[in-house]
Amino acid sequence: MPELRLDHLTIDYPARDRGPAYRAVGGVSLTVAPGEFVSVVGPSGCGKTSLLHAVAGLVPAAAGTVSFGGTPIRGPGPERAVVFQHASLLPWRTVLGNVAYGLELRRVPRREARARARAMVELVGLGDAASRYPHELSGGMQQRVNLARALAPEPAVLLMDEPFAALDAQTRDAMQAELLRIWAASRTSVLFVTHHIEEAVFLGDRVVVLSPGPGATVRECVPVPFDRPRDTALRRTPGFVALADHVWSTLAGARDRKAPHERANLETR
Amino acid sequence: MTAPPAVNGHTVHNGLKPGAIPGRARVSRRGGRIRRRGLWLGALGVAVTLAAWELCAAYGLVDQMLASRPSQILVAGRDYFTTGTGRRDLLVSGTEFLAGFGLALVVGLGFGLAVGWWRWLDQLTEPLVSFAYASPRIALVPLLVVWFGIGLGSKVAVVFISAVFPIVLSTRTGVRTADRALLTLARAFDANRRQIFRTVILPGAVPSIVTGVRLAIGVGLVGMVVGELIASSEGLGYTILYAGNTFQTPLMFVALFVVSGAGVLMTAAVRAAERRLDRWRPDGHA
Repeated sequence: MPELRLDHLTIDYPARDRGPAYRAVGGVSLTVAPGEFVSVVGPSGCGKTSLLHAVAGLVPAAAGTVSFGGTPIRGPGPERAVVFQHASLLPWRTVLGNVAYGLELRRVPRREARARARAMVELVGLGDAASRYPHELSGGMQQRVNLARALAPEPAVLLMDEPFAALDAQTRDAMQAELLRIWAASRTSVLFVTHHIEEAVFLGDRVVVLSPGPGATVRECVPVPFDRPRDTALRRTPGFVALADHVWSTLAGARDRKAPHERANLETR
Repeated sequence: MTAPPAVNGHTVHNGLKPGAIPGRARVSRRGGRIRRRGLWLGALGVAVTLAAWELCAAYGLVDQMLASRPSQILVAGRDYFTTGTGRRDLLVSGTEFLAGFGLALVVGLGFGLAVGWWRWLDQLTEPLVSFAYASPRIALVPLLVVWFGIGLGSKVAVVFISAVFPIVLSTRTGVRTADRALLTLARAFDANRRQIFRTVILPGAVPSIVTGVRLAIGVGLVGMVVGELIASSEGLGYTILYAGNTFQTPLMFVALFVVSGAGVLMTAAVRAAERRLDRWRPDGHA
């Protein structure tokens, strides 16, 4: 399976009033190997969502490239699917209809689309709610639908934009475990953007730490050595806490724009 | 455990127990009870008003010649539809209204969707539409009579110019206010413009369109009556004018009430259709 590669990806937003463009992301390079789960953390407003939208093909790159299996990406494509921060469900469609939506847009025959959507709805644990409308679902259930909809067309890469940010802490923990279970069943690659350090460490094979915007770059790439399957108890082990701490101080250093030697002092203290 | 939070009258559960929708049946049953109570209270309000009217007229508090009274109106109504011109008037006015309103619906929906979707077309036509919408179109009736004759044509035209604007404007608004997040979602799935229009824009515009259609019923009926007041020899509006001029106050009220009743019935029908169409919306929005 091919890999997703970001090569010096730079994203600009045109300014109003003919001023200089706002540089949201300034040259980010990273790869996501087939089946790999990569978390991206960064201080809020550092361009995480812009980065993800560029990979999705929704925002053009000002410089640099995004490529998949060596082919440059110029727009949305069937090998990628986005799980948005807000569930963005079509309110006039049932759970099943929403999950089938991406398949319909890709012109999968109706009967087959329904069958595959049904299987996805079962996979995310919403079998009994398949005929409900979005307003009848809790936030956690809506995000399950969001996830099922993205997975239904069987993308090679799942792009997730802080999908659990709006959930309460308990639901969030449960959804993280659910995501790992579902990901293990589907074996897609995941690029998961979040500002939540513990979440990034718990989920990822690697954690990419971004520097603050404007012009965010990769500050550090932290490998996460814990075995899978992981369960919630992992969060309380000393190794996990130490690694989360390390990511936190990298991020804090990034936020304060400290010089490297100052940051070293901070960490040894 | 604390009680699950309630949103829009729905009991919302945290995502741990998928499939469980507590309180759904209870909520809709309560919704039905409130709706039934509304019917009863509405009927009570009408009954009290009619009774007060009847008593005021019976005890001479108001002049019967000017104000009439419900019992007389009832008698006049029976005569109107048995020996009088009632059925003929209903047919004439009904034809005028339905033809004009149908035309307004087709043109209003088509044009509203077009200007909502194509920015350049909206920019091209916006000044004209605003100007026409702001003008007192009902004052054009004499001109319409010259153009379309004294018969059906001019009345269809009046209903049309009255009803078409609310439909155009609300349809345009419905298209324009499409949910940005859903548009982004469709784009992420590589949807083409046609798919976006069919799956996001059109269903999202339905509530706004329905609102416009409901408004259009009211102003269309007003247009129909005014058209008949100015130039006609039959129809409900003509009967209102004729009966008023000849001091047949009960008959005037009969024709007036037939028009209002038709408006209420049609609006209720649209609302019922909307409720079927909008099963996906949270309860209690109407």
